[in-house]
Amino acid sequence: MKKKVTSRPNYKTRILNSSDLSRIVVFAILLAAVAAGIAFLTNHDSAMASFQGGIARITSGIVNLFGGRTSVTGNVIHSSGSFALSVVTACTGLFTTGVFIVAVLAFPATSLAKLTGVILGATGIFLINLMRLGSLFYVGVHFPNLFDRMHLLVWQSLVIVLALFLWLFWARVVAHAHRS
Amino acid sequence: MLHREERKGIASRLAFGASAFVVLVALFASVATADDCKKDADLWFPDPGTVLTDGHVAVQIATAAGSQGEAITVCQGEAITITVTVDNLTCGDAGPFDVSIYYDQIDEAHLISTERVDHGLEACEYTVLNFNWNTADVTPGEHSIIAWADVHLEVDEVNEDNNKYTLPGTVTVRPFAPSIEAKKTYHDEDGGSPGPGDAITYEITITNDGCESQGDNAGHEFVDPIPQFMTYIPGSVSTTTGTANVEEDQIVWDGEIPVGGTVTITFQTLIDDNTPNQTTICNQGHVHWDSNADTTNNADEPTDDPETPMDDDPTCLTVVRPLPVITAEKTYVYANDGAPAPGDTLTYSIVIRNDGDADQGNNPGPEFTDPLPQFMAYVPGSVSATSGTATIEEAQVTWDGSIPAGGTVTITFQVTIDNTTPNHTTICNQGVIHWDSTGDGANDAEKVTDDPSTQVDDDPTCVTVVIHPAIIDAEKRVFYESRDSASPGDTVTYEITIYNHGSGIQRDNPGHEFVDPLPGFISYVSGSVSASSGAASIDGSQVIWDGEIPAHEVVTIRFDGKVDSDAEDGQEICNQGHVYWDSDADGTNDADEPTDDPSTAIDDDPTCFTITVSDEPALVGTIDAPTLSQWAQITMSILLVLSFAVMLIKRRNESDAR
Repeated sequence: MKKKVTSRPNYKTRILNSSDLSRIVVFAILLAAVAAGIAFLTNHDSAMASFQGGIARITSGIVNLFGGRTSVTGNVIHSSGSFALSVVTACTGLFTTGVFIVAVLAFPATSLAKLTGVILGATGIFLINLMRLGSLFYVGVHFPNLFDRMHLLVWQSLVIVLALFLWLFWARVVAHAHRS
Repeated sequence: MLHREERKGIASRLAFGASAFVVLVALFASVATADDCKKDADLWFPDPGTVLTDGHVAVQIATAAGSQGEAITVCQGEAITITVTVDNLTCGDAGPFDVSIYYDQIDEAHLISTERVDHGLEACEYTVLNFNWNTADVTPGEHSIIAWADVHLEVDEVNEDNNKYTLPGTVTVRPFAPSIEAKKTYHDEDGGSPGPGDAITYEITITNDGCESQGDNAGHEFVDPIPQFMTYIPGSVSTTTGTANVEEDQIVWDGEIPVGGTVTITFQTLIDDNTPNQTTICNQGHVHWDSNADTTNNADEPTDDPETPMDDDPTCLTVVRPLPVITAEKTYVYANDGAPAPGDTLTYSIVIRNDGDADQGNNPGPEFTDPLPQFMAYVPGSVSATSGTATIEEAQVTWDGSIPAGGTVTITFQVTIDNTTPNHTTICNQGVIHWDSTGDGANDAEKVTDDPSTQVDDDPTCVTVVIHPAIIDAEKRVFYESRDSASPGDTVTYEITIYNHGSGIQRDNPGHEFVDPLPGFISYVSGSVSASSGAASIDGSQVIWDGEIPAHEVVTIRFDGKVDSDAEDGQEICNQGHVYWDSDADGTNDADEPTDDPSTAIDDDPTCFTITVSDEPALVGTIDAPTLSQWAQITMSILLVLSFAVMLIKRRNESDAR
């Protein structure tokens, strides 16, 4: 029996060169800087008050759109009962958006691709966070016992996974198509 | 005016008429007289004392020397004079006839004598005849005398049935021999009834009513054995004549008794101490005498007890021991008013009285036992007695001790009526006295206690238990978390207070004593139900409670409910619990008492509150939900750096390949 021979690409596989390493280092440094800045903002909620209130109102509107009876006071979403959800800086998805943008900017791509990536990431993560807040509010009113599990286990994992997939999608599809 | 001739005529006619009337009367009278005289004679013997035609009284009698009347006693051979009166009862004349006197019966062998009445008896005439009777040939003994007017068919009589007549009384012909009678009497030297230890004096009187002396013949003339339960008192025997002695536990006498003589023998005995009560001691002496005057004692005359109507019967006495006579009364008292109820403590008192003449000793075995009845529990340490020893053994009270004559002893003990006793249960019990009715040191008799509050003798002492029912009332209040009303999500606290105003306990009967369905829009807060007593729990969608409520006590039940979030503003939430209780103390919950909201004037109304939703949201507390925790941020950063590196490598390799 004649054995079929499959040909392989004729190039030499390389891991990382010095340029890649320097880019990764720069990315890590930027990542740390963004994290520190967001931590500062998180500890100074007043600076983000209008942003928090905006997210609270948007979330309340979405919940009410689906039959809920909520009201918003400042950055707090009130249910008709005793449950209330406070939208603080850490709840805005700012860290996730920040690291996503740093990863987009640090990755080698065209400016257009990077602009596209920033818009895509900020918008996507913003929408994911709204979905998170709305669902958590519903669980908090009707299934308060499940609130912690929903918040800590389910939604944190989902946010990380969705953000990574979104960045990989950008890096693989958008940045690859517009590489210089 | 009449003429002289006319007057003569009238007078002569009147004289003639009167003469004719007299003649007619005389004629009728003579005819009538001639009719009586045609009757036959009727001879008879009028009873003694009958008044005869001449005013004398009839005599029918037998007389003897020193003896006259209806009981003539003569020795054989002595003469008896018999006097009889014969009367002609009618106006008819009786011709000559005989009057014969017989003894016992009319025949030649018993003919005493006959006399001829030769002149007979005219109308209403009588005659008195005397006869002599020589008793030499008459058999000794008791005889009757019969008189007979024997007409030998020579006289026609109206009635011959009354020609024979038996004289009143009897004639006793005694032989020429002794005739012995003996009687025996006793008396207690101490007086009263004979009892153990008493000295009894017997007296025997022997009389010779015969026609010959009783000689001191061979053998004893009198023998009297000392009876059982008696002991002769030495030296006590004596006699008026002759010789009295004691031989082999019997009294003997020897001597003569002249005609008409009497001898009296006396002796004393002691009644033995161990003689049982009511023992009858009889004895009888015997006189051995010569009935045929041949100097040998051939006849036996037992002594007679003159106190009885029987002849020749023994002389008896009945020993009466001084004995205790025990009676007992049992009563109870208790502290509360009204009828005894379960849980009450009764104090029983038993008074044992000895009305006898002897002490009741502390004999073997208890003198008193009293089993505790059903539904009663002895109060430990409560039994006591004024004397002796009272104890509780195997669910019965016992007492050991003695009761002096005329004395009493009182035993008391307490019992508690079981709480399980059904209503209207009558609990009876009766103690038993064990006592010595014979004085032998053993308790052979029993007598039950008597309830002196009834007319019935020796009846048990009874208690009727009446259970007082509970009287239940219930209130239900609601309390809010912080304000005067509740909002959705709030927790409200319900408090139910159940009062037992009655004097009886509400028991934990079959079924729940309290049921409280949760109202709509209220969710039970897990683990929140509690009760001050009994057992409260949640059963599905209702709170239940089981337990007892003692008289005049209160039970409080609490539970929390959470107002559902979808409750609306202004919505009224009402509910009402129900207490199921036993109104007639029969162990079943037959009554239903709904809870009352004490904040309203209405009785037994549900407890309500209104939901309030404030325009200002209540900032009870907020939750913030950071998108990523610190660890999640670190994780995401690492993953992103790795992804970044991978994508760089991938990109580098693709560039190199091109």
